[in-house]
Amino acid sequence: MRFFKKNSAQNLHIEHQHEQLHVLSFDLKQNMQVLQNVYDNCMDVVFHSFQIGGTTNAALIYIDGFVNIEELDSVVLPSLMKHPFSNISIDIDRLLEQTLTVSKTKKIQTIAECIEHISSGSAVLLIDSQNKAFALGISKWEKRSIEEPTGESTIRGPREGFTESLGTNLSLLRRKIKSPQLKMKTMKIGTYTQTEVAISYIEEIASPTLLEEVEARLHRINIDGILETSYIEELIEDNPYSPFPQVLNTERPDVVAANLLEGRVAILQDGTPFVIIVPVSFYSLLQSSEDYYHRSLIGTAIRWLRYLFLFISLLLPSLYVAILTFHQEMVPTSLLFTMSASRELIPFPALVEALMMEIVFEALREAGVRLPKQAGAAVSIVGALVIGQAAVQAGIVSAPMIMVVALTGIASFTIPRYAAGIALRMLRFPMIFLAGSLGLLGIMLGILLILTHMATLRSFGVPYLSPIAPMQGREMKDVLIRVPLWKRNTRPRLTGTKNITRQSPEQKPNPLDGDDKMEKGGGA
Amino acid sequence: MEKGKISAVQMGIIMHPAITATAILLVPAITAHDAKQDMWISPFWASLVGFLTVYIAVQLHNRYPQKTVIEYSEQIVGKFLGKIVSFIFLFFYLHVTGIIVREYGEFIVGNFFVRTPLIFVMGSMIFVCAFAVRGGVEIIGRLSELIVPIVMTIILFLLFC
Amino acid sequence: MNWIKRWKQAFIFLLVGIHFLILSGCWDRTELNDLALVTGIGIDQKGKYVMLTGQLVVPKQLGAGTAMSGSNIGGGGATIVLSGTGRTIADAIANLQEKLPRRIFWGHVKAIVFGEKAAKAGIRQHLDFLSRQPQTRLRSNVLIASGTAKSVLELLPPIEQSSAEVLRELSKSQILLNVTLKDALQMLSSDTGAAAFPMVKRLPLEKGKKELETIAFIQRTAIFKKDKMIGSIDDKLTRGVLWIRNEIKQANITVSIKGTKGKITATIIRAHAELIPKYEKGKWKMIVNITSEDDILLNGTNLSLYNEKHLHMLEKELAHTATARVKAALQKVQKEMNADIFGFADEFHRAYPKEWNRVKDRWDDIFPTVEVVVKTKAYVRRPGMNAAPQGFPEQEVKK
Repeated sequence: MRFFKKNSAQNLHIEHQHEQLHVLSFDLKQNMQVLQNVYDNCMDVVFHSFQIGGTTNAALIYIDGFVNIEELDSVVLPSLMKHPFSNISIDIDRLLEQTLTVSKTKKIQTIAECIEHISSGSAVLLIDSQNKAFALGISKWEKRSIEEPTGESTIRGPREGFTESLGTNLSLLRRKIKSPQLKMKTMKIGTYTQTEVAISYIEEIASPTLLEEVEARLHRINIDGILETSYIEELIEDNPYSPFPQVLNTERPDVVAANLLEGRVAILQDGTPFVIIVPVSFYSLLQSSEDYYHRSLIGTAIRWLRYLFLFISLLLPSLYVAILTFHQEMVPTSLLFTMSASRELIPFPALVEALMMEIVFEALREAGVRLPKQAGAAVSIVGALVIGQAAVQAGIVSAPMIMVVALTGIASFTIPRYAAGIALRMLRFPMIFLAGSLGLLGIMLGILLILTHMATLRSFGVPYLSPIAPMQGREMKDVLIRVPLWKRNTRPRLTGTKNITRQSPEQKPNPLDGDDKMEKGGGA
Repeated sequence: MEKGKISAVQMGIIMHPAITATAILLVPAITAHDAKQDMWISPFWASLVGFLTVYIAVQLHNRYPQKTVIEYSEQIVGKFLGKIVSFIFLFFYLHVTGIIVREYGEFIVGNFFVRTPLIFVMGSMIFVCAFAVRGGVEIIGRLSELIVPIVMTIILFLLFC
Repeated sequence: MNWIKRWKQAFIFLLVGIHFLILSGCWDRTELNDLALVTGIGIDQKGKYVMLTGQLVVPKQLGAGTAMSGSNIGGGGATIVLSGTGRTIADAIANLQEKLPRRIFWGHVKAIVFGEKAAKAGIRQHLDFLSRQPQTRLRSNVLIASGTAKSVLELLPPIEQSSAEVLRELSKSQILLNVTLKDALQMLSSDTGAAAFPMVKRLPLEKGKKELETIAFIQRTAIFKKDKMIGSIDDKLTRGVLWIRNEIKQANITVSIKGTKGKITATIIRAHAELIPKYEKGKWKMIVNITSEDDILLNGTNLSLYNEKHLHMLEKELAHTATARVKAALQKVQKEMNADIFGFADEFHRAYPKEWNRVKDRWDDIFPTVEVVVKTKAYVRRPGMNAAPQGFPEQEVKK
C-alpha cells in the first residue's frame, strides 16, 4: 500500500508546481484551459475537440506518437460521434459499456490523473458537464522487437531478450512463470521522468523481509529521473564504495525466472532491457545460465574453469611482476633463461612494463566497445599488430609480457557478468603495484585485503561470499559443483527459509524401474 | 562490546590459524632438537595439554554461561585478584599476538626479503589484520572459513607429495 | 562533518599508496636485467685459498625470445665462467662479485662441483655455506671433479645449454650415483660418517671439435670419510654399492651359462634391497636381501627361454652375478676403504639402540669386521617378445 502513498506524494509535488491541478470541474472549457496551461509549449500534445452524437462537446487529449491513431480514427471517434443518444450526461456509464469499443478504459477524477495517463500513452476523453474523464488505453509506440540479448549470448537456451518496453518485459516474464503467484508491483520513480518500475517476485517463495527491504529502499529514492536500472542499483546497494557489483543485472528472461524461483526479487524498469536481481552472492555473478542448460558434469567443469580464470584475470600480471623482480628462483630454469634473454634489451622495469601494457589493453578494449562496428575491427587489427608484434620488435616490451596481457584479457572475458569482470580487471592494477613493491608478499596482502572487503559486503542482508563464508554446507551444491537437477531439492537460503523445498526428492532417472514395470506388464 | 555472532564451526576454524604459524615455523626446530627422530610423538603429548585447556574452558562456560573470562574471573577469585587475572589474560593475548607477528616477520625477512626492514613487513601485515578487525568478529570468522581450508590443502599437498 | 573525515581517510590511503610506490625502488627488488644467473658452482682449493668458479648464463647469447637476436641460436657460448678467490667460499664470492656488473643470483644453481683437491681438503664448511644461504636450492646436484671443478664447468656442451645442465641430467638418469645437496648433508650428518658422491671426468675431445666443446660425464664414485675424500671406485663397483643402497634403477647384467656358447644380457626392471641387521654374541652381522626383476634384452645362446629349466638356470646365474658385484664392492669399500657408505650404522642404531650406543665411538674399528651376508634373488618375469633365440635354425635351438 505504501507505493500509492508515495505516488500521490509525487503527484502532490507536481501539483505544487502547477497550482491549479485539482479535481476536474464540470466545465469542459475550464478543464481544457487547465490542461492547455500544463502542456504549454508542448507541441506533441494534441487537443482534439469534437461532439458526441452531434450535441455534447467533448475533447480527446493525447500525445502524438504515443497513441494508436488508427484505432482512434477508426474505432473511438466514429463510435462516439455517431452516438444516438441526445443526453449522455445521465447515461455516461452506458456510453462506456455499450458504445466505446475499447477494452482498457479507466474513469479518472483529477487533473493530476489526467496528466499521468496522458504521459503514459492513454488518450483522455473529456466530456462537457462531466466532472470525470476517461482514459482510453490505446497506447502504442515504436519499440524494438524481441531480439537475442547480445551481451549474454548462449549456445543453448532461449534466445529472447528483454526490450525497452516494461509491458513487453513483464509479459515475457509471465510467459515463463504462469502461476498467479508471480506478482508484479509497479511504482513510479523520478520526479520528471516518471519512470515505471516493477518489483517482481513469487509470493510463496520470496521472503517477506527481503521484499519489505527492497520496497523500502526503492521508496527512499527521490531523484529527478532514472534512465537505466543502474541508477536504481546505485541508489539501493549496500556498499556504494565497493568495486564489486551487489546486484545481478541481466537481459535474459530465463535468468530472471530462474532467480525468482530461487526466492530472489527482480526489479524491472521501463526504458531499459536490463533487469536487476537482488540479493546476489559473489558466486552467482560467476554463474552463467548456460551452466544449467548443459549436463551437470560439464557445467561443473566449466564452473571450475571460470574460477581458475578468475584468479588469472586478477593475479597473472602481478604474479609475473612479483616473480620476475623478487622471486626469480620460482621460474623453471630454462624458462627464466628465455625470459631473461627476451628482457635483455627492454629499458623499463617489469612493473612499468606490466602497467603500460595493461593500460594499453584496457584502452583497446574500451575503444573497441565504443567504436562503431566497422571501425572496431580496424582497432583490433591495429591493437594486435602494434601491441603484439611491433612493441616487441621495437624493444619496448618483452614477448612474455604480451602473453601475460593477452591471457589476462581472455581470462577476464570468461567471467559471464560484465560488471564482475570489470571489477576484477580494475583491481588488478593495485595488485600490480603491490606486487612491484612487495613481491608475492604484496600479492598475498592484496588478496587478503580484497577478501576481507568481500567478506564485509552484504547484498540485501545476504553475505557476499555465502555460502562459502559463512559456510553453509548444503548450499555449496550450486557453487563448487553444479548438482544434477534431480538432486537440487532445496532452494538456497537467502534471508529466510520460506518454502525451502523445491521439488520432490528421488527423481533420479532410473531406467530399471521402467524395465521392471514393462516386464511385469508383459508377464500379466 | 561487539554484537557479531559466529557459529561453533567458525570459532574452531578461527583458532586454527592462530597456532598453525607457530606449529609450522617454530616448534619443529625446538622439538627436533630434543626429541630427534622421536619427534613425531611430541604432538600427541602436547595435545593432552590442549584438551585439558579446552575442558577447563568448557566447564567454566557451563558454570558461568553468557559471561566473559574477565567477568567470571572476578566472581571466582574476588575483585582484586580477578582484575589481576584479567590483566594477565589480556596481556597474554597481546604477548601471543606479538609472538605470532614476529614469527611471521622473521620468516619472511629471513627467507625472502633479506633487506626489507622487519617493521615494514610486520606493519603491512598488521595493517591487513586491522582492516579485518574493523569488520568485526563475523568477518574474521568468514575469512577463516575461506582461507583455512585452502591453507590446509596446501600443507597436506606439501606433506604427501 | 562526516565527509571531511572521509576525505581525510582517502587522502591518508593515497599517501600510503604513493609511499609504497616510491619505496619500492629499494630493498629486495631486482630486475631480471640486473641479475647474473648462475647455473653451476665450482669449488677448488688453491693452496690456502678457495677458488670459486661460477658458470654464468649470458642472456644475449641464449638467442631465444626476441626477434632481434635471432642470429645467435645455437648451444655454444651461452655460458661463461668467472672465478673469485678468498679464504672461505663467502670471501671468494665477494671477490667474484667485484668482477661482475650484475648481482650474482644463486637460485638456479643446478650443479655444485668440488675439485678433487677441495674434496680432499674437506667440504663441510662449503656445504654449510650452501645450506645456510637462502638462495641455493637443496635439490641441486653435488659432484666431485677429477681435476679442477673449473675445468668441468668451463666446457661448452654441444647438446645442452650449459655443462651444469649436462651434469644434472646425467645425475638424474641414475645410472650411477645421484646426490643432491640435501642428500649430501644427510649423509655427512648420519651415524655412518661416510659419504659417496658421483665423480665426473671430461670426455676426451673428438676430432674436429673446438676446444671445450665436450662434456664431463659421471664415471666413478668418490668415497668420503667424514667430510674428506679418501678415494674413489669405478663404475662397476659403484653399481655394487647402488645394489646395497637400494638405489639401483637402471643396469644391465650380462651372463654366460655353462654348457652353452654366447651370452645373455638382462636389464633390471625393479630391484629392491633390504638390510637386516643382526647382533649376536657381540658380533655384528648384516644380511642384505636383494631381489630383482629382469627382462631379457639379448639372448646370444641357443637356449630357448620358453623352457622353465633354462629360465631358472638364467635366474640363478643373474643372481650369482649380482652377488659377485655386491661382494666386490663390499671388499673394496668396507674392507679396504673402511667407509660406511651403505648406511649400515643407521640400521644398527635403529635395531639395537643400546648396543649401538656402546660402540658408536668405535664404529670405525667395527665396520670392517661386520659380517655381510648377501642373498640375491632374480626373477625373469617374461622372456621378451621372442621365446626362441633368433637367428638359429629350428633344430639348433635347445628346447
